[in-house]
Amino acid sequence: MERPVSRPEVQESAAAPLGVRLRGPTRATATPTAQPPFRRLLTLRLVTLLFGALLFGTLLSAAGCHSAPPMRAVDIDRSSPEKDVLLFEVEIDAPWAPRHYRDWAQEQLDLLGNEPRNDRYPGIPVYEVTYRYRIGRQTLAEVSFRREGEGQGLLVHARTVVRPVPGWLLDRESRRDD
Amino acid sequence: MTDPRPFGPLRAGLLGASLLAVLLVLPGCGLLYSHNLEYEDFSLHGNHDVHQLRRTGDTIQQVFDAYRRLFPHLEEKVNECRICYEEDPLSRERIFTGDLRQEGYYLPVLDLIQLSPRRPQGETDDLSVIFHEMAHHFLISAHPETASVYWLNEGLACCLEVSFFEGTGELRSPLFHPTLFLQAQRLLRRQGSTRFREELEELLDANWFRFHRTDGRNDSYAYSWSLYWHLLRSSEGTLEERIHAILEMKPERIREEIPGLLRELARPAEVHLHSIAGDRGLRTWALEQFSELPAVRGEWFIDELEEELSIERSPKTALNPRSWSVATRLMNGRVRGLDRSTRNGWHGRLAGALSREDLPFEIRCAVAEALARDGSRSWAYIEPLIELLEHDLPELRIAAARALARFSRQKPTVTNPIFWRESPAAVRSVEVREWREWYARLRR
Repeated sequence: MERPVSRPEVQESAAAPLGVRLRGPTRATATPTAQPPFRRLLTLRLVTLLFGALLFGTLLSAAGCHSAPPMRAVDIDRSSPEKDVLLFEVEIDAPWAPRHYRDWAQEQLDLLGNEPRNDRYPGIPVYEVTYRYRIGRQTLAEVSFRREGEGQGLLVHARTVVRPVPGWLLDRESRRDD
Repeated sequence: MTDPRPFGPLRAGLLGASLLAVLLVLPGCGLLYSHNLEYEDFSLHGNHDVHQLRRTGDTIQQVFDAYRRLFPHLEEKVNECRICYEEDPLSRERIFTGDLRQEGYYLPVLDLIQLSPRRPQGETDDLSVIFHEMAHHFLISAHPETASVYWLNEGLACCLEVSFFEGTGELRSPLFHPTLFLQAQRLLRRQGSTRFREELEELLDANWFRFHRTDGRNDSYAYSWSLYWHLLRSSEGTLEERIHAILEMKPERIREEIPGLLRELARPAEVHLHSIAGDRGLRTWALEQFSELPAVRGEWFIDELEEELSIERSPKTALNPRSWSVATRLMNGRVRGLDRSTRNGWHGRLAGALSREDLPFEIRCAVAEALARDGSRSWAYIEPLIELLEHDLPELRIAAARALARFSRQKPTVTNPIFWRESPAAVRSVEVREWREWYARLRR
């Protein structure tokens, strides 16, 4: 849809997007027939290369390719602050990607089996299992699993809350990207 | 000799596919999305749950309508737009990061808005990105020449992104962005006034690359918002008239306002929130912002809080659970400068609300939930919370159990809501008795 524009320079500025830079049509000063063949070929190769790179970048991006620091737990401490809650404090040596907190906790929970127990209160079914990740005294993330179906079903991932860590470079999942 | 077939089949295929991808992506074409909804002022495209998409669309239409009322003269020139909605992939997996800024961008040349709002803590999208991008669309539709004036566009959008809808559906725009204010203050402290001013002046003429440079992008938002906010405060009239006044300002005139901005930034955020809290329609919002500050002096909000919960003076907010929730958070937060009797008086009042059968149960739940979330600095709440464990309403029992679990590490309890909702009273009474015994020992 065209908007009313009175001056050519205004139109040019209106075309400048806020979030993404777009380039306008290339200014052509000669017809293709006026171009030497090698030059036309060069232009075509450049265009092909450009779009190829763009497509490659899109595919890489869609595949979610990124690097992430290795997941390594230094120490794990188990406690039970409530009768039906298990808390695991996990000491790590570097922040992880947000999904990795959940995935690692899920693996640990699977190792516990479907019916983890609080040994001090064996008659009370565990309602919540939380993994709290920290470096020293600083909490980086908490992953909670709760029984679904208002507390009667299986333990499922309820939420993962990742806190920003000043001074650490996280992978792209956790960076602002607008 | 040159190749007689510069377009081999492979190269031609690659070029064609690339062109097609670009052409499909750039206009936000509906072909790319599973769900395409048509609204009065925009089309909405998305891939995920269509019911969620429809709810988002209704909200966007509400924002559109509200902006039309807010900008009755701009409104005539606003184009229809296409909006592509991507649910934040992390939020979809119930992973919430601490990032404050939401995702989205606007392409004026295509009247295209891309939204990918995050859900900072909860289940619903934060509306700020919608308010933000829609502000770009309204301003640039009416004034295309502002599309490349990045500080001005982002300044206005950041002012409007803190807007919210009241219960009645009316749009309220405080314009004051606490996060960006604190960030601008930090920049001023770190850089000093001379460098701050130079940075700001440089930003007034910044191109896209300078404004969005990786190392200072968030700072650019803070600079832009603070200047625009100050200019709005310095102008008179309706919001639309003030926006026009800023559009008409010469660059020299804008630069002359920077010393005034520096004076505003030198004052604490509490001063500005206190001023906003004087507006009855913005008071609850302002009190909530007080509760989010790292530390706050009580004298800046205590009178407004009193007014907020006064049934005689403010019957509407005095019966609003949100007001009671923020009162609980404030009085149990990092408040300085309140004398002991005032503080204890408030704890007594809030704890008393837990026992008041004449109050709606939503208010009592709101107080208990606020205690469960943020903890407490007073023992005054324990006894009424234990009483609530035996209440007839399961919602109150669940909220009280959650709050009590927050109080003591020495007294483990059962947090499972199904226990407090459905267990027979005789089973629950064992747990209640334990709490009473624990509290009796504590008092001795």
